[in-house]
Amino acid sequence: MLNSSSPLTFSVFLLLILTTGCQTEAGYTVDRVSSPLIELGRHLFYERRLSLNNDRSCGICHEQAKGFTDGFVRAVGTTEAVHPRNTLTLLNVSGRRALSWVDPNLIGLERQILVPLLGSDPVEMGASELIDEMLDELNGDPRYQELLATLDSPALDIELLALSISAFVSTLGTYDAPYDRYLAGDSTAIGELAKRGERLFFSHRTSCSNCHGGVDFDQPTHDRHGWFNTGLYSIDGGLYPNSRQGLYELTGAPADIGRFRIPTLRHLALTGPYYHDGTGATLRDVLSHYNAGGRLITSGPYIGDGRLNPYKDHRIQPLDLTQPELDELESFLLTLTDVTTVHRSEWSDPWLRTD
Amino acid sequence: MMRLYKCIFLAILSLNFSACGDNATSHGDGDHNARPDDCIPDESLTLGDMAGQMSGEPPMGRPQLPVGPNDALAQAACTLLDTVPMELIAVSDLSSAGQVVVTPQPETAFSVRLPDSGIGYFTLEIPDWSVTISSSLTYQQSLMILDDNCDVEQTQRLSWNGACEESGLTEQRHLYHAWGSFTVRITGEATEPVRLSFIKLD
Ligand code: HEC
Ligand code: HEC
Repeated sequence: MLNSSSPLTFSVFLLLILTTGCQTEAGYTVDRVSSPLIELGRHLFYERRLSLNNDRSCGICHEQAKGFTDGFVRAVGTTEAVHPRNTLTLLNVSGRRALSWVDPNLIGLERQILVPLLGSDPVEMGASELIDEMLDELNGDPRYQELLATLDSPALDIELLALSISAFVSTLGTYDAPYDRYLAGDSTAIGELAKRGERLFFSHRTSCSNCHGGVDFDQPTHDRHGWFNTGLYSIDGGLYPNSRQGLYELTGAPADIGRFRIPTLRHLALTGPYYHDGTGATLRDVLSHYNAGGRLITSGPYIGDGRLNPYKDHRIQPLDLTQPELDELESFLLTLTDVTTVHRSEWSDPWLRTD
Repeated sequence: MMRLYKCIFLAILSLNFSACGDNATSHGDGDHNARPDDCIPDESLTLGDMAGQMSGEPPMGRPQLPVGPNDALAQAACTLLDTVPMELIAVSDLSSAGQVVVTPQPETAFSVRLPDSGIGYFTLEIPDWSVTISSSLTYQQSLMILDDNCDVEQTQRLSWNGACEESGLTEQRHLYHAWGSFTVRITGEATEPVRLSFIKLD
């Protein structure tokens, strides 16, 4: 993921310094909650001039209307190459420790942000060769000069860029979904169907909450780590498709085949399609796979019975849920979505024309 | 066959008269929201419903309209007949279409193997806004894009390719207002791989 191309290594180095100390080389003081910093980050988040072909920004792949995802099966970067994985939501992302579907070592938003910006495998924004020219161009833009003036900063550099985007990204998310309001005492915030679904979700029978625990429904409650094989594929005795083998690609340990990070279940209504590679078309499809104890694939290039995947977690077993029970579970999952996230103006694209 | 033509006819009607048809170029450089503003998607219609409404039968003969021999997209499709195609194995059910993802390739044709039913699905990812793609197959096969008519619109009905008439190629064009993943359904013979190309209009 993080390759050794020099601008990237250099930037990571700078950021490591930056995140430990607060006075930067450029002389401005880091204040994570200052709104000028967030406002600068919002502009940069939606800045297409930071991509090789001026056609990608963070906000293009992480679109507000789609829960800060892109609705693609798998993302497509500026060179039109298909990314091996599905775009993750940025809502409530500040609660996550390791970032991305696979990499347990990618910790800290400021570091992660350099991956789409400068990374080459896969190319997302493709800015690595041109980042200095890009920053020069932005420094010449009166809009940025104004924003930088509010920060008392003479110029935008890579460290301020990463810091401000991460400050903005950290503001995305809420804990005000119908289910939160229900927990806070409003018994009418969710319906009867969802209340029955809640019981199923937290039951021994489904063990959903064993893996999807915590406030973001992405923390395992019994395990030390949060990467699992849920039996989506079993090609030639247990493999997942090429370049989608999960943690195994980093560790080379067979037990890590098909292990992906537990995704949050917040805002699911906005963030389909699902799974690390977007092959879960609907929430109902996902629930059907769990109900079967994995996914049986009978046609196409990946024929195989994921239910029999030898690396599958032991909790993924047939559940024998009836159709009404699946309705209940689905109804509960939908109460974890806060639809107001789609409209909040403070997260919207500041470059959008209003004419 | 009648149902298929009815469907295309309806698509053309909606192209001319629906709210989706008129302002495909209204977005400028600074605005990626190319979906026509006044287009109201039919939220009640799922992809499954759309697939069900469409005929599974391929067109049996030459469509009525020709694309002229001098048309650049038609010629490009003919040229691709001489290349080695990229193999694709389509899935048999709509909900698995995400397992096979392709993007339009200017210099590559696809050879799509269909399941026994003769109906296969895969995903076409359109990586840009307001893109016109010409799709070519042969007279015995059909292609449908099963998505919301606000995001994709058929701008040229199924026609025969006059640039290499003897090849029996058909051609149709779709304008993708917005980028995204689109579900493609191909109908043909399970025994015969479908030769298919997606060419982008520059
Ligand atoms: C081409 C589309 C694309 C672009 C552009 C893009 N991302 Fe992403 N983003 C993705 C994909 C795909 C993933 C999942 C990556 C993975 O698992 O390897 C992701 C993951 C992330 C994550 C990790 C979320 C989590 O829960 O672990 C963060 C944070 C993020 N992106 C922020 C950004 C920022 C900030 C930018 C702009 C600098 C950006 N992205 C640009 C597609 C994109
Ligand atoms: C062993 C841990 C584990 C258990 C138990 C588990 N999950 Fe998951 N869940 C995961 C992992 C890991 C993924 C990502 C799998 C992938 O993409 O390969 C996932 C993915 C999902 C997704 C897709 C989310 C997205 O954004 O892509 C949903 C929805 C989901 N799980 C719901 C449930 C429900 C409901 C249950 C109980 C029936 C459950 N999970 C049980 C670990 C688990």
